[in-house]
Amino acid sequence: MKLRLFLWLMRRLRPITTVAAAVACGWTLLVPGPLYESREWPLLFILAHSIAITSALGRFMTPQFAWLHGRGYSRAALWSHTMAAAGAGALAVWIPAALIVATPARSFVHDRLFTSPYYPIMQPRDAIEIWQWLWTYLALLPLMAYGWIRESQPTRGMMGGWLLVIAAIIAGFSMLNITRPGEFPRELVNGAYGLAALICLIAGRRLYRALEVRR
Amino acid sequence: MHRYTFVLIQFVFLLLILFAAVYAAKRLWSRSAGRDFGPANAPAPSRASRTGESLLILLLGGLTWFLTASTRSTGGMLFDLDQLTPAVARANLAAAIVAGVGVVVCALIALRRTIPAVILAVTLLSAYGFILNSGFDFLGREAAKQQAPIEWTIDLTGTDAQGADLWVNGVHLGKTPVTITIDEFLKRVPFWGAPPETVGEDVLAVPEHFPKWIVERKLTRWIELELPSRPARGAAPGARGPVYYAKARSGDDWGCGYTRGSSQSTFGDEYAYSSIGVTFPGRDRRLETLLDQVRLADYRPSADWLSAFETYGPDGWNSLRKAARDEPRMQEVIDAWADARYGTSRVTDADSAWLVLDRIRREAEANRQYTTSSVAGRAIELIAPMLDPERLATAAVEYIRTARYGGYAYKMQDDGRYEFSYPRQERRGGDGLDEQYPPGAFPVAHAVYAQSLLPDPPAVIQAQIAPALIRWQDKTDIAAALGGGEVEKYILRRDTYRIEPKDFRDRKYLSNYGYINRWFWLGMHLRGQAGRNFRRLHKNQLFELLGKPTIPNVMEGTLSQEPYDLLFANGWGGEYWPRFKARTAGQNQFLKIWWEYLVRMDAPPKMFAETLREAHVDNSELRWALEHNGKLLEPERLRAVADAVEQAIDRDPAIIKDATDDWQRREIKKYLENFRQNDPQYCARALMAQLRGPDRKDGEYPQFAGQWLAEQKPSHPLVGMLEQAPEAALRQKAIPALEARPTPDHRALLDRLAADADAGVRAAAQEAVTRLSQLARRNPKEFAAK
Repeated sequence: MKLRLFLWLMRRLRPITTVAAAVACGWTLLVPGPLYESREWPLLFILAHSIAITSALGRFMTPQFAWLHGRGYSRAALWSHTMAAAGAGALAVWIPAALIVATPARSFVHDRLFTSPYYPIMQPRDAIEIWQWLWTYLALLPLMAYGWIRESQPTRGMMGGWLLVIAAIIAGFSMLNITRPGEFPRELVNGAYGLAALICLIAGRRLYRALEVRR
Repeated sequence: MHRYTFVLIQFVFLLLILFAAVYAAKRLWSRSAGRDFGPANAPAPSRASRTGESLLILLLGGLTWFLTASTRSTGGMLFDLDQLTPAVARANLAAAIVAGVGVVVCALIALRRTIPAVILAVTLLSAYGFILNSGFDFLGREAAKQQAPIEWTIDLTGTDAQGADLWVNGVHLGKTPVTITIDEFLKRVPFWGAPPETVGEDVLAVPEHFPKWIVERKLTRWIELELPSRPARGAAPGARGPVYYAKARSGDDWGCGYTRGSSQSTFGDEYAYSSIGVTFPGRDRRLETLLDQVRLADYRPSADWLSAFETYGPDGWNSLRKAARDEPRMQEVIDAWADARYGTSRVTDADSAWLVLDRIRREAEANRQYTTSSVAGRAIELIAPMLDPERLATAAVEYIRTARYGGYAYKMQDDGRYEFSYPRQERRGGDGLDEQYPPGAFPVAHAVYAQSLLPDPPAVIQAQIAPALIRWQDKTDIAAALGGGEVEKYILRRDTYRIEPKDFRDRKYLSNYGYINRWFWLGMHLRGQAGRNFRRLHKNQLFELLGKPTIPNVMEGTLSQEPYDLLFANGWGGEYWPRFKARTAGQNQFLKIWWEYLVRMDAPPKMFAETLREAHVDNSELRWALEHNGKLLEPERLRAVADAVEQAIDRDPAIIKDATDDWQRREIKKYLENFRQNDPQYCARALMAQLRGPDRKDGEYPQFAGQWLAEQKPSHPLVGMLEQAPEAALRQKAIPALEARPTPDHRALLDRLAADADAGVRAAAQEAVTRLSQLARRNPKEFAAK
């Protein structure tokens, strides 16, 4: 683990993480009604957050990355630390939001402060939503990172990667929309996207070796 | 232009737009980034990206293909092809193969070029989804539906004689329920056009005795069966299709019914269903004989008796439940049955109780059937107090959490209790039963409900199960009946002071009242102190609701509607009475409804007399009111009401409109006399007096009292009075009734008559005792269903 590299990458995520964590925690704490009734908003937020994370860490054509790639780190180290930083950026937002839901904080606020009819009765049902959020991060981040890496290859057809990523995201969101948590089709979708993320990680790692970085 | 051509043009147009958009985006991107390193002569993508992207297309394209092909709600029937006609199934399969192979081809293309592969895959899969789920009937489903052979199920109702042989127009169609396509039926069964010649010979005259007259029901083995057909446009309502003649036989018994009106047919899109209402007199007699045997055994059934009784299935169960209504010791037979089958008497602790529950769950799963009203249901009620509440709650919550829908899980019975039934799916056409709780969940639900009715119900029901019903299934009505703190918050934190719903999520449909605010309604049904407080605070909303039925007139049956149940259950009948009276005064037969209201609010008898005076109706209105309410009043109140009304009329005959002459007054006296006859004691005394009176030839003499008692009312008070009568002829009339229901009490009376001073009575009673002794000794298997 190269701490300085990791911290450098994390510094690039700091403003995104700060804003995203504030939005995620505020929304999670205050949105009225059970979370399953507003499922689309966390998914859109995670999409936007993933785009922000991967673009902050994947715009290899910027002077900052040209400088980083000239610091003597191996391509393998750069790739693994970029992925780790992306994961840490997502977790830094997911963990506090998940804690708000999983601990009785959200339930307590809505029960005692807002006297919502849905709480405490819906607290266990809210808690299963957070795992879908985490899984969506885990699927989206490698897909999008792959899009950036693929785009920076000195080969033709650079748009192909993005086209595939966009199609995969649209299809994934459609499938999340028509399936219900805990049922076989949803598990299948989650499993397939987990596998897709793994493929993107493996392919992305190999492509990273041929990454083109320019000032 | 043909509509499919139009759709095809649309597709091509969309595809072109997609290509143009991608091309423009690519050009713009390259220009805005000022990039010049991706020229056409640059190296091809690496093997890693080609392989990875190909795998991604295969994986995600395959996933999309699978979900499209298998999601029934969006037309995916690939894994249910057996439910489609062969032509539609072939078209469905072909579309799936083209789309599936297309995905594989796209994955192969991606090994060289990603962009065309992605565009082709997206287009193919979108087209596949469109074909399955668009308004256009690409696969010919609608056309096939119109031409599909209609499966017709013919079954018997009014009896559980499953497996009875069925003949229609002389052709044996098999055992009920018979399922046959209409085409095959028409091929096999000749059309007669006229009733069979033997229709008159097979008439079975069943006499039904009443004290003063006989009614003869004419039943026949030939039942008219209408061929179901799709209602033709413009056909006159009630127009009948071709009529056939059906006969059913169970064992050696021929089914009997009324020639016309005993069968009913319904016609759906893909199925037709006809039910033929018949009884099997021989079978019914054997079942009744079995009940007599268990009476003779002092309600202690032997193993042989139980095995014979079980052959009657639900009919046996229903006959026991019916007998138990006025013969409480029949409950002992039910319990003995539950014990013999499930060993309920050996249940001593939570573990042994759980073993019984587990067995009933497995049986329910295996038979795809469970109902509260069965011997298994009784076993659940017997073991429920011993079941570990925590373990039961865990099982119940797991079912609730994992079930997709729970819509058909339970229903409220007339007595306000919930019944949990998993009906066997016998008809095609889809009641959605395959998407509900599994059958094994129903005994668990029943056990939970039985525990909730205990004097000290386990806290875990309110703490875990009631919230879970709301959390996972939105089953608020049954959750309200279970109650608990979380459920109370869920219901009472709503806007409950309106009776109109604010939006569709607040709606509950109430027959005759339309949509009402469901939170108000749930609060009114909430269990415990919170519910009592709510009802007290929302009394005026209930009154407001009662004033807003969608049907303006209050009619017969109105007072048995749920809002009135609430009114009377909470003791607010008196408070609402002036409003009810004002709203209904002058309506058709309003005295009848007024008195029914007074019956339900438990009003003092003088109120009946006061309302009669106030109503000032003619004697026909009075007659309707007396006839209707005579059946509702308890004997003691009935006597008091009759006295109060009679006194009021005697004091002032003018309270009845136009009751001016003696004939009308005599009629009124007759109505009151008939009203009093609803009291069995009064009726028995009156019949006794008539039996002792001179032999009248005008039809008023109760000459059939003995047969009436034996056939229909063996427990009537008249039986005891006859047995005690000093006249030998009257004592003798009691004997058939005593023999007809040989309960221990009746046998004791028979024994007394067997030692009667009168030789004739003695001989008749001794013969009856001998017959009963012989019956007791006979093997119950002789009376099993055949």
